Amino acid sequence: MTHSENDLVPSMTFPPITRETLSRYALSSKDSNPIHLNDDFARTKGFPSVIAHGMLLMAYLSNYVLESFPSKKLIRFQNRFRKITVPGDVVECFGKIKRVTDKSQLIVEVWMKNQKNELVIDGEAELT
Amino acid sequence: MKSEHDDIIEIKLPPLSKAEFDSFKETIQFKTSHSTPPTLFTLFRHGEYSWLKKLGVKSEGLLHADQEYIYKGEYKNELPIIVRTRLSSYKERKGKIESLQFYVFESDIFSGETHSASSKTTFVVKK
Repeated sequence: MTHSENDLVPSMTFPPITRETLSRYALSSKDSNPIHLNDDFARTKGFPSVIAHGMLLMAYLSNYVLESFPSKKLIRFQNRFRKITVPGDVVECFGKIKRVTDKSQLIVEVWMKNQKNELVIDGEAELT
Repeated sequence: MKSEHDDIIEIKLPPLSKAEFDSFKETIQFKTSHSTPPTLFTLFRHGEYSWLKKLGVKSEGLLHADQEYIYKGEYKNELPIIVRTRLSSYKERKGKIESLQFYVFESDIFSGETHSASSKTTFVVKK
């Protein structure tokens, strides 16, 4: 499949984030920071409730990249976490091809938005 | 960028079991034909946590600002892991009401003898 600069990658939506999602991720990732699991603690830090692990969302974004480019290999992946995600939020992943090299390496801008159209994560994926 | 602390913390970890590996994949809904989830290396943050403890920073309430992985070689599951982490930068931004501390850690992660990935993590602490 040929790719061109500025091509948009079809978006992908993930199921709503739930407290159960966060509990399961905390267990399997061994990140039990109470900010993700305890509403009272999260509120002491200024949040309305528990917040999703940034790395869970980065995992979703990486799934999106790999499923969008199944024959490619990821060589670099960078994400900046822009906004918190709370239980009930639905996230959608987007991408745009930023650069295609003559060796068919791709640099893809990726980003994630929530159901309010707020930017949650942005970053880049480099594939070969 | 000059490192304020030139030390490298090296941590040796036992292999990740197949059950742990599969559990992680299932939790993040990893379904592609690729063998390793790109964010698997978040399981090997021990060097960063050791650094935070050394610096007297509590991990509770720590916010993740930025994460980058460079994939160097194959990750081989069920092999011992070595993580080498250094603090590559520290900055504090003081506001009127609160200050923000930014910690950047860089790590090299080995599965067996293979350099599987490098990571660069930025954490923010609100004070």
